[in-house]
Amino acid sequence: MKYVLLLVLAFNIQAAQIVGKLSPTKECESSKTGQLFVSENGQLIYQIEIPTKGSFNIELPKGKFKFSYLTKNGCSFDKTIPHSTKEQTINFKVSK
Amino acid sequence: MKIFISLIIFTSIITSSIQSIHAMGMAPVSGGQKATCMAMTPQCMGNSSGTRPGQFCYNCQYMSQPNWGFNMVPYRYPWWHSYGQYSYPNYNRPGVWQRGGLSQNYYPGPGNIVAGKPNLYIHGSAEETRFQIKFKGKSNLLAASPIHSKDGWLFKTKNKKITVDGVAHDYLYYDYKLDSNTLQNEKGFCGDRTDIYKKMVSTLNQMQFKDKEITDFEEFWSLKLPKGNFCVYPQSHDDLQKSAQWNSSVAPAYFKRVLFVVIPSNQIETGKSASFKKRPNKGWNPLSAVYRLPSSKGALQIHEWGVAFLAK
Repeated sequence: MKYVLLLVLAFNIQAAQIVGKLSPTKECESSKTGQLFVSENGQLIYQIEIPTKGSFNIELPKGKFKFSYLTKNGCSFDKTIPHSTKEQTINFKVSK
Repeated sequence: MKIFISLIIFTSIITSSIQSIHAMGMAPVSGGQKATCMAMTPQCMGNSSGTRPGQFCYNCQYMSQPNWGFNMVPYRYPWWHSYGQYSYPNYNRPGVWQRGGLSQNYYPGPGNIVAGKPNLYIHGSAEETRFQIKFKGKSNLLAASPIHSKDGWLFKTKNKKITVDGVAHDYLYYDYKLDSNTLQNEKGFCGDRTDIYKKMVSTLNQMQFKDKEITDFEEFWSLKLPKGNFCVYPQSHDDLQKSAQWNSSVAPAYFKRVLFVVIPSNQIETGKSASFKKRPNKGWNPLSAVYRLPSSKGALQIHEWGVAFLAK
């Protein structure tokens, strides 16, 4: 039991969630979906298909992560987010 | 004293999770009710419209070509391929790849397997349905879209779309860590990157996943499997419920669920492959992961495929 608790504590210390919510500008509302690329130092960690009004949650360690989003018709965002071990919610504007 | 405190915490966690499940009217998708399919009959497979023949594969013939050039018909590349290819050096890997697996640092949690991109497709019309992935033992959620809260997702289905918070989705997506000790490690198949890709696509065809669902699989995994030789240990719903338990407020009438655990052969040979210590010595029957719930009155049909790797 002690080890289970230690494991849980260790896990909580190392990582926390980033919760993301996307909102498109009017000209990007027609694009239904796009691809989200999450990377650090050029290394791709996640590639996820998300609607332009969609949302996500990702468990990440401490670091500085780049969130790049692209739709087929050129709507996008690029945002670099410093992340500690505290959960944070970020709004992303999808625009041309 | 420490043990006493630990016990109290553990009991309260268990009690609260049981209470939250009951509050939502959810139950694990299993119980003693389900039956695995023994034959590909409509009574067993559910709505199988829009499925493919057994060996159908868009990208298989191109994957076997070692040096295909401009004069050859290319892959069915997805529109995002060029951006990914030129932006990320590890784009042709399933994630941050090291020593035959995915980096433990970027995919945190105590489990030794990373399940990448289980896609969950839902067919049939449904009013507000609560669906939760409950992570057990050493498993934990890594990523999800739309947001998977502690109570899971609340969705409706209409016009072949899954709607969550008013936003339409083709499928629900999540990634997670899990413990290899909960998985079967005897049945499967081995081969190089092309062989295992073909076999995985053929398995999905045999399980009668829909064309669009397998096309999604092909688009992503034809580009993301590393080169080399591998053994694949497919896992069914029965294996996966021990780590990532489906709880649903509406019992699906039919469901199919498979996770392909892909282990590099050299990791098996050197004993660095978690509980996958030997190459598979038996074949895996795709129909063993197709289920029906004879007692269900609903028309909901749930399909899930995923691919998993070692955490290193």
